[in-house]
Amino acid sequence: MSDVDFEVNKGDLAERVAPFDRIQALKGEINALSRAEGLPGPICRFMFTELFIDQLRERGRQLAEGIEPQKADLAGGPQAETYQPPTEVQPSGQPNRHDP
Amino acid sequence: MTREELDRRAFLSALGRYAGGACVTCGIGGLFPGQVRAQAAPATSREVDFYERLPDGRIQCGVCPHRCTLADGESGFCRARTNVAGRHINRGYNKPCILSVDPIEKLPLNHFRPATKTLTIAVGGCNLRCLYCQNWQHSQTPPDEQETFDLTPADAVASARKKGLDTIAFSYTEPVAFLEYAKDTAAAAHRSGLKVVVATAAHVNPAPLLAFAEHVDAFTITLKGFDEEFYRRMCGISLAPVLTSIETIKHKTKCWLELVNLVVPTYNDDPRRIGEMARWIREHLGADVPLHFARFVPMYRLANLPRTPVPTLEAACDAAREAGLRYVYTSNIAPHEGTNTFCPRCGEVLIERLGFKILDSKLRRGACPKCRQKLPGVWS
Repeated sequence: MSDVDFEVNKGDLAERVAPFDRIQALKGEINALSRAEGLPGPICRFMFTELFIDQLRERGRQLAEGIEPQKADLAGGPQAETYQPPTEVQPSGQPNRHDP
Repeated sequence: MTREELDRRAFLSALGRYAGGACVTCGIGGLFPGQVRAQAAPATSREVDFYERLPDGRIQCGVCPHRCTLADGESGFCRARTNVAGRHINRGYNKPCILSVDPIEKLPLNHFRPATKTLTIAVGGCNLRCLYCQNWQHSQTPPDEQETFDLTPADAVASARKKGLDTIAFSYTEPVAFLEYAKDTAAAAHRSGLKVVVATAAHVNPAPLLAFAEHVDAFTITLKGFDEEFYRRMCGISLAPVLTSIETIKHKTKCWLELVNLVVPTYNDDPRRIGEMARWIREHLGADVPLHFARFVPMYRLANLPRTPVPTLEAACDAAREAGLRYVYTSNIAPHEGTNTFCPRCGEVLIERLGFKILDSKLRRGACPKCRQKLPGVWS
């Protein structure tokens, strides 16, 4: 295979040699089950993190006090595509393994 | 030679030659890094189509408005063209540094054969000096000083055919810097029935542009801002030739045209100036020319800036729509509804996109299925 052939076909090659992603394969099934059982979907699960709950609490407090709610500046904060849930630290000092 | 005749370039060139001679005398060597031996034109080069020989022996490049005047051995502003013994040579011929299979939406082109893929080709060099260049490693390096592929125009067409692609694109770096190779490849592609699309900053003279456009089906032109100061400070060129090129493509060729504006926070994100740009587009090109506002990503010499905030991009879109443009998009951001194509009459979502991916298309023969409004573009 020439350099040019490799460059043109590398996307297909990468797909062919990629390891089997069990999570990706099960994702559709998990989401379907979640919907069927009325469980929160992936966006809902993402939103119900302490990051957003804190924002919602603050907004609720402002509303209760009759203050015009301030728009949260999320543009500079964590983004959905890069957000990592906080890792709990065990007493030993070793972080827990996080299973997505 | 009088003081007026000895410009800075000539002075430095002469100084280099004297110093080179001194080095030879000392046994150190005669050439500086990057200096080209006048007698040795590499096999991977091609004579430039547009230049003239000056009475003093130098040559003047005619490809772009820089009109570089070059003595023997000197390279132009684009870093790709060199005076080799009185012949103006492009050193990047047959030497692309990037080959990639991309969705056409990445160019970006949203109204030209959606969901097709392109064989995208780039060669090193550029006749701009954008401080925020997204591909500076390639664009700001001479074409023969980086890793390259050996790819003749015929090979490029054969590779695209073998991969089942029916479009060749020139993007990533500036096609004006490798115009000779791009033109020959585009001509070969057209002879084989392939389409050709080009992403460029359009800092090019009208004659070379029109000669190239004969073999091109669609252009995406980056209109980087709408004031001279921004173009001078951030890109090292002037705005006027870019506007001339855009009008040339729109009115003197049959090529499809879309425009891109990369919104750099604090530099070109003033909605009033964006509105001014959009009004110019509407008045000189028409309201149907799609305009993309691309999100800036910190890069090169502007790595200290943040990404363009989403509200800034939305404000830019609003300003362009208020000025009367019908097809305004956001780019480099997903998910965002600004990447979708809406019917300008009934507001129906006609093409739903996620980044460069088309999720759903309701267009029927280039028209809205609900109100039959025809959309401008090339849809098949």
